[in-house]
Amino acid sequence: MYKQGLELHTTELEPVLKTLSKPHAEAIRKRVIILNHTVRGRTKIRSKRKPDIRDVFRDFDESSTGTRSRSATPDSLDSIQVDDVWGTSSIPNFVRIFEENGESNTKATQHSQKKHLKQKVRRTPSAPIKSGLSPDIFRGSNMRCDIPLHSTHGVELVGYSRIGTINLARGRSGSDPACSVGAPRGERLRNVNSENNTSDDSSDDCINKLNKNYKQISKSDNECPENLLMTGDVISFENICRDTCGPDEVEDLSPSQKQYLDIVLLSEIEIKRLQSIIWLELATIFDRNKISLDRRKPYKRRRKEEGNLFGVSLSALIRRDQQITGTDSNLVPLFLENLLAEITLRGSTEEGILRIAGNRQKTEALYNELESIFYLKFENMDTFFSNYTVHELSALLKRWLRELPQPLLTNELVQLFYQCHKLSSLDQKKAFSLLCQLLPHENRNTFRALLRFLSNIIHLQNENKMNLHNVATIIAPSFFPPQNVHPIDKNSIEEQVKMAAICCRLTNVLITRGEKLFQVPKNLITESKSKKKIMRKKKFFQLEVMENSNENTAISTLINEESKTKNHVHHTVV
Amino acid sequence: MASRKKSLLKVIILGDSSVGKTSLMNQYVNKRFSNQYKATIGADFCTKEVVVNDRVVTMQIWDTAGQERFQSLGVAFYRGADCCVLVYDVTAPNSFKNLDSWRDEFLIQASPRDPEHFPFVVLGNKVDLDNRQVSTRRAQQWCQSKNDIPYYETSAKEGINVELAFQTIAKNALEQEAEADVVNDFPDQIILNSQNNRPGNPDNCQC
Repeated sequence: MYKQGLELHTTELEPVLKTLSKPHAEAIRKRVIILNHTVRGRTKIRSKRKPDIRDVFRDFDESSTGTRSRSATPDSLDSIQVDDVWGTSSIPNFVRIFEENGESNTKATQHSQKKHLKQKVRRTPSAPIKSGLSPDIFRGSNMRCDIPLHSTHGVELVGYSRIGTINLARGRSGSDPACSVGAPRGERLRNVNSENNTSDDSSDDCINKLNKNYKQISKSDNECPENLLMTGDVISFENICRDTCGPDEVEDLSPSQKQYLDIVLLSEIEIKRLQSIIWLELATIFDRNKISLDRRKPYKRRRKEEGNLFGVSLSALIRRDQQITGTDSNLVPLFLENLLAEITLRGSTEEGILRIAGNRQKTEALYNELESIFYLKFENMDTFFSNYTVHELSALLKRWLRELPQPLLTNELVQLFYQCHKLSSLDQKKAFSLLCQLLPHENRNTFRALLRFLSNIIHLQNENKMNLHNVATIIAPSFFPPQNVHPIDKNSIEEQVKMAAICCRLTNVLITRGEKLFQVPKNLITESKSKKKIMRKKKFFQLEVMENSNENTAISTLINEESKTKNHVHHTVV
Repeated sequence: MASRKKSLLKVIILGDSSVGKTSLMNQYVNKRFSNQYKATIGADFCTKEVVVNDRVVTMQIWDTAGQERFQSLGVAFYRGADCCVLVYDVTAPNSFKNLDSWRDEFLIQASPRDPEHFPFVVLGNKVDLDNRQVSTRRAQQWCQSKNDIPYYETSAKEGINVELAFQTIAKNALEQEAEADVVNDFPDQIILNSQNNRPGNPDNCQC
C-alpha cells in the first residue's frame, strides 16, 4: 500500500489491533505512525510541490478540529508553521512552546534536536493530507509512553521520532539521567558496594581507578557526576553480576506463570510464523525501556569464502557436512561438534581450560592442517586432535568463532543483543530469549551447543578453576566480536574497556540462562496459531515497514545525521 | 638530569593468559597476592611513585588481558609506552615460546621510534612453584638474542625480585625518555642489572 504513496488508515488498523494484547498493539501503532510519516515524506519528495498557502490552512483546520490537541493551541501551531514555510527561524520558539505545553517530556532539549525538528517541520506544512489520522487512533492506547500526541500531523509525528532518536543517543552516551536502567542500578550498586567492602575485587577497582585517573591525566573534567556513576555502574562487573543474579530468578517465574515449550519441538514453519510475534514482543520490551530497536540490515558484503573450515559461514559448513556424511545434520557444524567433544573429553578438568593459550606455532600448524585435511579425514579426527594439547584446541575454537564471516549472533542481531545491557534484568532475560529464538536455525543450534559446552566447563570449576566469570571473560569477545561491537571512538580506551565489561556481563547472563534461552512461551505460540489471518496481515505491515525503511535509507540517514546520534541507519521494525 | 624528562612513565605488561601479569602488578603496587584465579577484562592500570636516581617519577603500569580480546585494544593502548614488560610462566613452556609474538605484536602496534633499542624487560614468573619447565639459561639466551633484554625471575606470590624488577623497568623507561640526551651512566646499569640477576637465581633453586 505504501508503494502507492498511501498511508495506513486507522480504521484498517483497528480491527487488527483489537486482537492483540495492549502492549503489542501499542508497539504497532507507533510504528504505523512512523510508517505513515515516512510515506508522507516520500510523497512529498516525489511531488516536489512548492509550499502552498492553502495547505497551511488545511493543516490549521485539521488541527483545530482535532479532539486531542492537548498541547499546542491552534494559534501557536499556525504561526509556527507559517513561519516555517516562509523560512524564518522561529524554531527555538516552537521548541519552547512544545515544552511548556509540557506533556511529561522532561528531557532537556538539545541543539541537535532542534535541527532535527526544523527539518521535519519545514516539510510538513506542504504535505498533502491523504488520510487524516483520526484522533481515534490514540483513544484505545493506554498512553504509557510520554510521547506528546498532537493532532496536527507534523507536530505529532515529529514528536515521536524526536524522542525515539534522542533516547538512543543519550542512552548510549551513558550520561542520561533519565535513563531508566542506569539510575536504580547505580543505587543498588552502591548498596552492594558498601556491603561487600571486603571483597577482593582488584581488577574492578583498577578499572574504576582508570576512570578517575583518566580524568586526572587528561585534565579535561567534562564528565558530569552522572557519567561517572554510569561508568562505574557498567564497569563494576562483578557487583552487577551479584546484583542481577538470584532474586530475579524467582521473579521470572512467579508473575507470569508461563508455560514454555522447547524450540526444538517446533517445526520450522511454526518458528517462522512465530517470528513476527517475537519481533513484536521484542519491540514492546524495547519500547518499554525506551531503547530504540535498531535492526541492522543483513550484511551484504560479498566476500569470497575461501577457506574450508575457517572463515566459512555456518550454512556453508553444514551444507558440506550433509554432502559428505549423507545424513541430515543437526545444524551444528561437524567440525565444531568434534572439537567440542574433544575438549570436553580431554580438557574439561584441565586448569585454566579456554583461558590458557596454546603454543602459537602449534596452533598455527593445527589451523593450517585442519584447513586442508578436515573434510578428507574427518572420521579419524580424534587421533589427529590427540597430537595437540587441549589449550591449542581451545585456541582453535576461539579462532574459528572469531573468523566466522558473520558473528555467531548474526550481523542483524548482535547489536540488539548488545543493546540488551540497557534493559532491566527481567526484561533482559526475556529479550535474550526472544533474540535467541530469532536466530537462524543453524546459528541457534550452534550457539546452543556452545552454551552447553561452556556450562559444562563451569560446572567443573572446582577442578579447572574456570568459573562463570572467567569463562564469560574469555569467550565474550567471540560472541561480541570487537569489529561488530565497538565504541564510536576506537581510540578511547575507557570506552573500549567499558564495552568489554558490558559484553562480559552479557555473556555471563547468556551462559547462566543457557537452555532457558530456547524455551518459547506457550502464550506466544498460541497467539501465533490462533491468529494466522491476522499474522498475515501483520506480516504485511512488517514487510512494509521494513521495505519502507530500507528504501528510505536516505531519509533515515538524514534524520540520523541531523540528530548526530549514530553512524548507522535506523530501521523500524514491527 | 635533563629537565625535559617527563615524570609519568607508561609501562605495559604483556604475556599469555594466567602467567601472573595482574598478580605481579598487585604485588608491586599493593604488596598483596590473591590466590583467586581470575581473568582480567580488557585492561587495568595502577600508578606508583618511585624514586629513580633521586628523582620522583610516577609509574603508570598497564595490565592487559591475555585473552585475544586484547588485540582489539590495539594502537590506542600501546601508544606512548615507555617500557614493555614481557611476562611468562616458568612452569608453562608455551607462555615462554609465545614471548616472541608478544614482542612482535608490541613493536608492530606501538611502532616506537627506535624498535631495536626500545626497552623491554622479561620476567619469568611463578619461580616459587616446583614444576619449573623453562630453564634460566634458555630464557637468558633468548633475552640476549633480542638485544640484551634484562631478565628477572620473579614470584608474585612470594614477592621475589618484584621490587628489583620494577626498579629496572622504571630506570629503563626513564632512559627511553632520555635517549636523545647525552648518554650518562644508565647503560652501565643495565649490565649491572643483568649481573644482579644471576645471584638471584640460587634463590629460586631453594624452592
